[in-house]
Amino acid sequence: MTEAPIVFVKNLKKKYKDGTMAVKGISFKIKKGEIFGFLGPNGAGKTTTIKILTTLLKPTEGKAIISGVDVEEQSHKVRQKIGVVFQTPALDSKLTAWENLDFHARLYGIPSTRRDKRIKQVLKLVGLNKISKKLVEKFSGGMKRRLELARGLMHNPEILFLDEPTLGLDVQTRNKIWEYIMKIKKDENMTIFLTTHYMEEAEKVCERIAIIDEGKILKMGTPQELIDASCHGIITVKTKNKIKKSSNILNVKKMNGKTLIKVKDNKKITKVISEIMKKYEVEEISISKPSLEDVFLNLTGKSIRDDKPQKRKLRIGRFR
Amino acid sequence: MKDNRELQSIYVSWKRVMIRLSRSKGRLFGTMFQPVLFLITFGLGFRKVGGNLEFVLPGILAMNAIMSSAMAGISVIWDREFGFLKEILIAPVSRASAVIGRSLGAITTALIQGIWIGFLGILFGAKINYLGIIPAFVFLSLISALSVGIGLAFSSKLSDFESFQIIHNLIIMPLIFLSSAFIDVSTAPKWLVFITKVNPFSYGINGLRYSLTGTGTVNVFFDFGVISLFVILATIISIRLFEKIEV
Repeated sequence: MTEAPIVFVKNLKKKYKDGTMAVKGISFKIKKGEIFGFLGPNGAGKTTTIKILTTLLKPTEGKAIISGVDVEEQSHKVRQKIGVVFQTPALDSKLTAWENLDFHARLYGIPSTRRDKRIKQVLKLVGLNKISKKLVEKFSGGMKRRLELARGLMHNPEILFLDEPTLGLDVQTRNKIWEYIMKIKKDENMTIFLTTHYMEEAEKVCERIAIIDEGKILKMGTPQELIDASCHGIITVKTKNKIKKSSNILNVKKMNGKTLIKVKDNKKITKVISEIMKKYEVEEISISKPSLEDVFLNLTGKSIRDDKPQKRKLRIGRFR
Repeated sequence: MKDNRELQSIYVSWKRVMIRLSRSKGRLFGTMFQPVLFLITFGLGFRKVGGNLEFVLPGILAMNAIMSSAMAGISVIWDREFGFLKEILIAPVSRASAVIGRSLGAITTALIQGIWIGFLGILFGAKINYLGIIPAFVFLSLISALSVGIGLAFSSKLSDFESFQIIHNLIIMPLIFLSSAFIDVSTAPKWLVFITKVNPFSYGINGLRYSLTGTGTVNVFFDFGVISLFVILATIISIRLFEKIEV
């Protein structure tokens, strides 16, 4: 028998009072120790799902079970098992970092003998131990997020929910936050459920991803599985020869004097390249590997963000 | 263990109110000087038209307690706006403990302010019954508890920032001015007396006034009973509404 999933969600629906169906029947499981990501544009239903799983909202229909406890029926028990970092800060800025954590520790019943030790421990983990006596209002956005991460793990939850943990932070800070998240995962063997609309980040850190749009899960799997299932790598070749279709090539197109070759199976992309290099006289060759962005585009027909990110281009060589 | 956690929740919610008060220079300053203003205008300014300091001082004490405690109740709106409410709502403790802790914080604040106002009052020449100070504290606490309950109940239902002004102007201010705080029941017109009688704060204020000056009420135990009943009612309602908050 396989180990029971730490999160089990079945046919979850949420209809708000104003009639909006924010979540339209989603089902998924998260295994222990896994980093599972919800990827989708704003308004896809990510935050609503997190709010239901963290007992802030009641589901309209369906079931959500966290480590064997029903979220709706035994919300009290669930609360002890989860750590949450919300999309918008949930700190008291008039208190110091230490006081915020002390507040949390007491609410979560951490006994006085362990309280201070644990506060020190988590502050150190996120690198805030030197400024623990500073008021939170003096903190930068990244520091606040780190403090919230520390607070989320204080009571040793079984799973950590991170709702857009890097939203509104600059690239450098974002990378830093991910570093801390990966460290937490490693140090505390944490199961993490996160939402994001940053494709590259999801691809980099998540072990499994569910692509969600308009309240529905469109696809689920490892990043590579998602890419391989719905996107094809493209090889761009500059050559005087005419390239013919072969068993590994899906189609061949000519564009601006270059030939675009769509491969059938991403795993065979290197094979196709060597095939072409052998058969034809190649002046220039490059491949563009599809990313989650392409997956999303293929699934929904729209880009996840308004500012379209640059397509990743992997140049492997130039031949003259 | 569980009981322990609830107590911790009450304690830390109370402590948070205290820390925030001690760090807010504006509020401390206001707390210090507003009563001076009230004592001068209501106490000394109206002396010519028949007001006397002994009558007005309990009124000022009550007004201050009602306003400051209502504010503490309404601060849930602030917590919602700045996100901290979520931290309270997902904690594995009863929401009642958060409400009680916050109320105790408001009461403590009102008592500290009360001591300061009383001290100023004496300085201004008010003659009070020193034996009545302890019961006066009790009545002031009850007034404060009722007010914080009302503030909490409203702010649990109303989520936007603008509602604060509405609660303050349309609920709290009329409750203060249509109570026995500044209306002398012995000389006021009958309809006004009636209004003060249906206002639960009046009973707290009557009790407070009687404790400090030995005047102004028929039966101080009746006053105590009525205000206590309303405090219990307001606390239950505010806990119920606070439990229903979804964000």
